[in-house]
Amino acid sequence: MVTVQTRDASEVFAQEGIWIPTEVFFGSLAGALVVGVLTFVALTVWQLVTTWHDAPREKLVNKLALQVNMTVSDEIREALTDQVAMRERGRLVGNIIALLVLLALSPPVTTGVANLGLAAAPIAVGLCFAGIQLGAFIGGAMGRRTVATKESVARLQPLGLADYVHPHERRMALVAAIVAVSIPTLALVALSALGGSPLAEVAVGAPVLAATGLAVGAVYLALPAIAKRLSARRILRGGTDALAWSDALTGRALSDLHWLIAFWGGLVAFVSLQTLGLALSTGAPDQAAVTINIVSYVALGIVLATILIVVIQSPERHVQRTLWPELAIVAE
Amino acid sequence: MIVTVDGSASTPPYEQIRVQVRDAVAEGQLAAGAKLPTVRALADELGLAVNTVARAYRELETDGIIETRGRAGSFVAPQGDAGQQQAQVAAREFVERARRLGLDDASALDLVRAAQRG
Repeated sequence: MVTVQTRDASEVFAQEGIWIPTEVFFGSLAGALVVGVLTFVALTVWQLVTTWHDAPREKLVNKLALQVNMTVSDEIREALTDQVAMRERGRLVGNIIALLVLLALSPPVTTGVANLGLAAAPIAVGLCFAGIQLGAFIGGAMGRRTVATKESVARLQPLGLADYVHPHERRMALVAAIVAVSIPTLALVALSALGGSPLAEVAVGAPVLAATGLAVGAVYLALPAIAKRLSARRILRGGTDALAWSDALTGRALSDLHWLIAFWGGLVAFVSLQTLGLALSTGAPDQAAVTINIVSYVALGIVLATILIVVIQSPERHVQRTLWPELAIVAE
Repeated sequence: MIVTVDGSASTPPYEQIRVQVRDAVAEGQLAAGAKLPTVRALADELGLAVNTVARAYRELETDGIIETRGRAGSFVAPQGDAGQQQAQVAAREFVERARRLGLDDASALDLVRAAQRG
């Protein structure tokens, strides 16, 4: 009969003298991180290069056409392809820039750097998202193309935000802006009333979160002006199809901004709630942990439900439904 | 309201713009007080010379369809007799105020209907 003896890893390491020095462990970790980042950058650069190749560009246009549910006529296809490629390039460049900024903000393994406290989490995650969304927005808004057509059309009155963006997306951004401004401010006021927090993460993070929340609110308030500006400055000039696709691209750009506000607003509010929980539960670590966990689960549930409700409505088809029903690929 | 210019038509482009704006105002698509794009912006959108659009605007102004308010730009002028003109201005002001107050157009219309009933 064979007897199997089991020993845990620490026992083996202790008895056989196997141990991993701290430098080696963190060195391997840093090495893996560098390899991961370089792979990601290489893949992103490869994707960027393909935006100059015909087949991937075609694929991008077809994908967008299906998303917004609008047919693409032959006369505007070339100009639209150029414009969509610009949007994709913006998204990819934004992605790389965000990653580089994120790396610059991250503390090295050996030395500590400026501590942004609890605000570090939204800044880190938010930067990546902001890079992608802002890059797509800037790329999409850059450059105007003229489509040579027999007829040229123009709007005499610019459209408003409601014409371009689905009501659910607008409501989502509104709620995000309200919580992004109010909750960090509340946390800051509560901290001041308590005479500061003994926790460095809370003391340092609260003002950063409040400033970020105000920035989110300011972007939200600027949305109608941005919509008017984009509407008055068409992306594709030419006939009716060019106008329709200009509307669709403007709608996508504004939708990107709404999601950006929702994401940053939600994240800032969520971390501020944690700050509040920590600040108010001084001297009771268990209670603080319970509070934070409950808040986390409830907030996560609300966020997931909101995203589900908005996405189910296929808001990317709003422009086609309201402004250009005659261009639908699939009748709804 | 969308204006279309056909480059191959025998009617000159300025006349096409003039006729379409005139008809839109007559049909109520463009309400009194509605702001029109600047001459330069419209010319840029339509791929026309600035002078072409400027001529269309001049003729519309001569016909009393639009009015230019200095640097503020060009606006659709109130149409009809004095009473109708005042009503159009009042309607425009009501719509602008309702939008400033955050009311959507359907709610604003409900208020008008309620006021008419009461």
